[in-house]
Amino acid sequence: MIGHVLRAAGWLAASLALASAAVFACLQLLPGDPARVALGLNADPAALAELRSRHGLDRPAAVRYLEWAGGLPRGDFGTSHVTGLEVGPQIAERAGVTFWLVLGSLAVAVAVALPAGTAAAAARGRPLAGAVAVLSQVGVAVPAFLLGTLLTYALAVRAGWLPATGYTALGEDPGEWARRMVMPWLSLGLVQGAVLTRFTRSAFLRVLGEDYVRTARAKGVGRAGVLLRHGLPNAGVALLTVIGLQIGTLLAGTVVVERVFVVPGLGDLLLRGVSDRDLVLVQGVVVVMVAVVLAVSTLSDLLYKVIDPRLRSAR
Amino acid sequence: MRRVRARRAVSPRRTGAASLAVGGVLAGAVVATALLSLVWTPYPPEAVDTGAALLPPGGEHLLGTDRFGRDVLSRIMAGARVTLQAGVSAVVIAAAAGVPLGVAAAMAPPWLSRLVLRANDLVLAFPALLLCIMLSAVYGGSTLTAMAAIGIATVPLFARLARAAALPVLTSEYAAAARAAGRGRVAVAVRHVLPNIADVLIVQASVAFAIAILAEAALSYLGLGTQPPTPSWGRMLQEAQGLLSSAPLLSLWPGLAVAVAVLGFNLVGDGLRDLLDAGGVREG
Repeated sequence: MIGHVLRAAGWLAASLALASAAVFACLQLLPGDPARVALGLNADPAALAELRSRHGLDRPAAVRYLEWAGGLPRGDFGTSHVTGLEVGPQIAERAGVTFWLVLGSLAVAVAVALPAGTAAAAARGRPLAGAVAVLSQVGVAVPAFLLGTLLTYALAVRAGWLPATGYTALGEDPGEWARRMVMPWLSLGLVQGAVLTRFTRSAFLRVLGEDYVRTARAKGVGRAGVLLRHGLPNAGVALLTVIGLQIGTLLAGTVVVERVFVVPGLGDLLLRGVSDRDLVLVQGVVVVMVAVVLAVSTLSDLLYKVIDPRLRSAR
Repeated sequence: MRRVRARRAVSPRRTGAASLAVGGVLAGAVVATALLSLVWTPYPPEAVDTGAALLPPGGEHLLGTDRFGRDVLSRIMAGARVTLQAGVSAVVIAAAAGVPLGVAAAMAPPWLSRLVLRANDLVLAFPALLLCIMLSAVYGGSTLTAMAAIGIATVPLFARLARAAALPVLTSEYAAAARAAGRGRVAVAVRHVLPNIADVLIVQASVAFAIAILAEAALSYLGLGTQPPTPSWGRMLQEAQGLLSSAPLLSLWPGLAVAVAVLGFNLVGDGLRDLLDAGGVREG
């Protein structure tokens, strides 16, 4: 097991280095001259030269990359060419907001998927299973921004129960914070829940076809007992794997949902970076998101090796 | 005596046919609408008529007009073009790069094959939307940037699937026989591997098409995809959102259009998978 952990950690470190290099190359090398991006096409040559020397843009790309990447583990994401502000503190300030958005949405998704997927598998061939299949198929097709808009219309505009947009910090007023996060959580969580439902259902069905389940049934274990004893652990492992695979989609979803509900998270910061042509800021947020995706998928990979001993000898 | 009624499970072939039929109708409707919009829309989709702003559905404007008096139905119809462009280009880019990569990886020595898989995982860590946002920070938002980014982000899906599907073909006796008869690697790949993995790839293509549609809609919603005045569904929904209390239907139409298109292509993929039993990575 320790070998697995070490190997995974090694790959994670290598992947992080490569991913950060790719992000740097995309945002600092592709545009040609980052100083011109920051100041615009008609910038004064003296101002360009001044910006270049202030941020060290006249040095070789490899040196600049190493300096930027070397700062990342310390939380130093460099200084914006546009605003002159440090990027690290801005990211730190926003990361918590997005973290709770992701966590809440995941909770909604699992709360939907586990019962719905289980019921669909248990009711195989009956109308209930068909209903779950149709609903999850439709759910997968609904974009989060449409669901967010529909929820806003129903819960804020018509019913007036929730404020349509706006954000209150968790530390300021937890009750108000939760009230304002309900719709973002639902928009992202229900869509994700539809995806997870399909996986849960097929994980259950796979188990129900196994010989040991037939044996359990033959020796008198009831349907519910089999679902609980054999189905649930397997569905749990499947869910874990899928969450590991879906974390990227989920993070990308936060960008959209934060825009719909004006939630000041990382996605909002990223979009501000894009509209300000603030490449250093964009670079910082993207690298954080990609690092989270890589770390979570490595972790879920390891976790299911811990949970499911059969997979340990796989390699 | 208690009579036990046997529960007849619905066969995958029947559900497959049903999915394919419903999906085919929905996806077909989107394609037909896009084609029709090339030659006819009720009004020019970009024609502004401030005198006819925010008309409710019905009458001369079947789905009403937006706040510039543009005909919503015409804009939805024209928006289908951008949607399909995004889907087609993403699938073409991803398949053109991903399939050869995957098949080559399957034929390569194990260490190289594993390296390709790792590289795949690395690209997978960049969700399509994030890649698009990054590229639009550099090049500015456009349909072209969106299509390229979605295509690149989809390459790993094809590469991984092509490799997994090609492996059993390569160990088959006829592939071995072809090699023994002196056929080169490329010839074996083209003559024997590709035809055998085509069904799996077609299923993947329709699913990837749906994912691309969602990504393009999200990008346009964020203002980073297709730029005005070209109509796109994501952009239409974003513009309508401010009018949610006075004209809620204006948000519904483009959102519904996206959902119908995605549902259609997903169902086609599901149906084909059940019919061809092209299991592969089956997620239910």
